[in-house]
Amino acid sequence: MKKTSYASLLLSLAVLSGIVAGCSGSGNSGSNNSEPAASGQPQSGEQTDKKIKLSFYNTIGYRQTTPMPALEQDPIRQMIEKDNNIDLEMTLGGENWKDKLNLLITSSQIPDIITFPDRASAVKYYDQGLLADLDEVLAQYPDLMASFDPTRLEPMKYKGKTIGVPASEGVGGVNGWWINTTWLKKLNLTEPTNPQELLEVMKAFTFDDPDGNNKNDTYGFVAMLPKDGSLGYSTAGPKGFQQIFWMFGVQPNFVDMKDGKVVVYNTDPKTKEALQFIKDMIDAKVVDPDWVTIDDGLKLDNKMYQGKVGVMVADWRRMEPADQQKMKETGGSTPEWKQIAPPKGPNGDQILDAKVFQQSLLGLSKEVLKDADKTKRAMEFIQYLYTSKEAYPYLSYGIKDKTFTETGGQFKLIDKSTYNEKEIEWRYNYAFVRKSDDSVYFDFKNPTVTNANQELNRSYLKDNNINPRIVDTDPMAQDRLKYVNEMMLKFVTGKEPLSNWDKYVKTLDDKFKQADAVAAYEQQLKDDGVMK
Amino acid sequence: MEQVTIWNRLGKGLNYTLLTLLAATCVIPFLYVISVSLTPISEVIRKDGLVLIPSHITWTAYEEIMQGGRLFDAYKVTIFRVVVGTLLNMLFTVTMALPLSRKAMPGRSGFLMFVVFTMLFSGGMIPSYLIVKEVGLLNSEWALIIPGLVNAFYLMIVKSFFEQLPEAIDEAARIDGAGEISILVRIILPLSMPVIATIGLFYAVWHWNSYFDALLYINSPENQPVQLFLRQILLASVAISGDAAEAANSVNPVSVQMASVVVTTLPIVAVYPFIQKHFTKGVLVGSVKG
Repeated sequence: MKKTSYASLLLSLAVLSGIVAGCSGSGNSGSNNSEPAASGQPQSGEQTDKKIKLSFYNTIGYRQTTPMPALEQDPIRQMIEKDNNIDLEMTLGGENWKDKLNLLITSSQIPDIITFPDRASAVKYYDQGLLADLDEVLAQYPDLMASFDPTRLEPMKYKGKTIGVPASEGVGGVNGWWINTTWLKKLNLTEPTNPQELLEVMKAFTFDDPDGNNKNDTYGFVAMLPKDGSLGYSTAGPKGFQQIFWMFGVQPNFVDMKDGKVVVYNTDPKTKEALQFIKDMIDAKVVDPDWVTIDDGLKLDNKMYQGKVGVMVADWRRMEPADQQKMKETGGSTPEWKQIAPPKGPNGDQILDAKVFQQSLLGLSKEVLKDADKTKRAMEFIQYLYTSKEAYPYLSYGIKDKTFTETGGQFKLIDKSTYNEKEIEWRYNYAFVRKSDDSVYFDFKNPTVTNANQELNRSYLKDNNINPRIVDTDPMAQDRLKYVNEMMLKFVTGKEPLSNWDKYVKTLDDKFKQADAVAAYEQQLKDDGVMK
Repeated sequence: MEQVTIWNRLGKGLNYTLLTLLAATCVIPFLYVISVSLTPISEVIRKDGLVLIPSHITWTAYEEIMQGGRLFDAYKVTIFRVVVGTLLNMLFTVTMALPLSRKAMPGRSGFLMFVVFTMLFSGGMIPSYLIVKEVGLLNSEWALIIPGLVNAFYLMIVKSFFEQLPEAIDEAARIDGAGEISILVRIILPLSMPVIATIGLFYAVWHWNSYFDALLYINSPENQPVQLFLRQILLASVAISGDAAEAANSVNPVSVQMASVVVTTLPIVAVYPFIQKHFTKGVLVGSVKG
C-alpha cells in the first residue's frame, strides 16, 4: 500500500513536470530576462568609476580554438581589467561561433560587445535586432573613429546606419605571382609578361627538365580547387586559376560595377577567353594534375617546398628564412623564387586580386545601449583597445620580455624558437587590434624582399567595394552557384566543349534567373548607398 | 581427399588473399597515422603526405604536444570523467532498471513510457544548455557527467536482462532475510556480470569519445577533456575571419596533428582487444529470450 502511494505520487509529479516543461518556453525566458536587468540596475544608478562586468564575444582572435587561461595566468587580461576597471568576460566563438552565439542569446546571456568575422553575418544579426545602431554613440568618440581608415569604416554602414567598427584589419596583397628564377636562368628564359609568354615558360618548365635530373617530373604551374568547387572568387580564397581569370579582367562568381551598372562576370565573353586559356594550360599538361585535390593553401605551399613547380600564386612571405629552410629540407635545394608583376592580359588588364574588403565587425548589443553608463564604459573600452598606445604592444605582441622586448621605445619580437609558443598561443586572441602594416607584428627576417613583395602585390589590386557586401537572396541562388561552378570545371577539363558557352549563358539566364540576382544586387547596393 | 587438394589450396589461397586485403584496409589507416606522427615533416611533404614506413623516426611532434602540460591536464579530466562518470552511470542505471524489471512494481508501464519518451524526443541543445546553466554546472566537470547519468537505451537493455532472472531467486533471498539492497548486491549483481560489463563498457567508451558537451559547457581550459585538446590541435588553422595573413601561421604540421590523434586514441585502442568480446556479447544481451 505504502509503495503504491509513493509510486503514484511520483508518477503524478512526473506528469506534472512534463506539463510544466512544455510551458517553460515562455515562462522561463520571461524570468530570465528580468534577472540580468535587475542585477544591472544598481550599478547604473551609482557612480561611473565602479568596476563593472563587460562581456565580449570574440570571433576575430587569431587562435579561436585555443582556450584562454585563467585570470592569474593571463597578464594581458589583468592589464585590460586594471586599465579599464572592468571584469572582462571574453568568450571565444570558434568555428561553431553562430551556434554558440545563438545559445548565449536564447539563454539571456547576450554579450555586451559582439564581434563578427564577416559582414553578412553581422548584417543578419542586426536585422534580427541584436546589434545596435552606433552612429550617435560613435560621434562622441572622435579619437576612435580617427584611428580607422575611412575605406575600412565605409563597409560598417548598413542601410545608412553604422552598425559597428572594423574589428580586425585584413591585410591586402597577401598573394602574388611567384616564379622560380633558378629554372628561368637555367633555361635562358625571361620573366613572362603576357599570357602567351606565360604559357611558353610553363611549357619549358614542364618539358625541358629545368631541375636537370633527367626526369620528366616538373610542372609549370600549380593551382588549387577549394572544397566549394569554385574555380574563381570564393570565400575559401583559392589561388592559381583565380589569378588567370584576373589576367583576362574577369572573375567567376565575382560581381562588379561598371559605368554605374552591376556586372556579373559569369556570363562575360572574356570569361570564355580565360576558360579557353586555362583549358589550353591543362591540355598542354603544364598544370600539376594534383590541383584537383589541393583544397587548402597549406597543400599548395607544400608544392613550393617540394620544388617541382615553376610558377605559382602564393603568400608574399615565402622567401623568409623559415620557408627557405623548409624548401631545403623538403626539396633538397633553395630555388631563387621571385615575385613578379601579374602578366598583362590580352585586354590590357593587369590585375592580381581584389582589394581587401573590411569584413570583420565589432558592435554593441542593443541591451547595452539601454544603459547609458554601461554604453559609456563599453565604448571607452573599445576606444582603449584600438587607440591606446600603451596597451597596443601588449595586445599585439604579447607578454613583455617573454614574447617581445622593448628598448628605448622600439619593440621587437623574441624569436619564437627560443620559447614554447604553444603555452602562450592564446595571446593571439587579443592581437586582432594589430594594424595590417605593423612590421613589428609580422616580424620579417628578410624585410627588404618581403616588404617589396607586398608593395608589388598591392599595386595590382582592383577596387572592390561590392563583393562580400552583396548576398544572394533569391531562391535560385544555391542552384545557380552550383551550376556555374560545375560548368566552369567541365569547360576547363574538356567534359563540356567551350562551343557550348552560349548554351550555358542561356541556361543561366532562363533557368537560373540571373537577372533576378542582378536586380537583388542592385537593390542591396542602392540600400547601402554604394550605387546611386 | 587427394583430388580436392588443388581446389582446396586454390580456395584457401584466395580466401587468405582476400582476407589479408580486408585486414590491410583496416590496419593501413592506423599505420599511416602512426607513421606520419613519427616522420619529419619535410619527408611527409616530399612524399605528398603518403608515408607508410618512415625512413627515419623523430619524436619532435610528440615533444611538441607534450609541451606546456595541457595534455596531462586534459587527461586528468577525461580519466575523471570516464571513471567517476561510468561508476555513477552504472549505479543509477542498475538501481533504476531493477525495480522496473519487477512485475510487482506499481505504475511500471507509466515509468517505462516516461523513459522511452526520452529516447524518441529530446528538448534539444538550447533547453539542455539552459538547465545546465541554471543549476550552476557550467564550467564544471560534473556538467559532463550528470546530464547523461542514465541512458534510456542502456537502461532498457539492463532491464530486460534483469527480467530474465527468475523472481523466485528474489523470493528465496527474501525468505532468508535479505533486504532490497542485499538482494541487489549479493544476488542480482553477481548473476548479471555480462550485462554490467557490457553496459559499463558502452558508457566508458561514450565518455571517452564525447566532446560536444564539453565544447558547450566547459570554457575554462583546466576542465577541458582530451578530446577538446585533440580538436584544438586539428582545427588550429581555423581563423574564422579567413584572414589570409594570419591563417598560414596558425596551422599545426600534419605530423603534430597525427601525433595528437595517436596520443588521444592510444589508451582506448590498448584496452579494446581485452574487452572487445563483451561488445559482441553486449549486442545480444537482453535481446534474445528463451
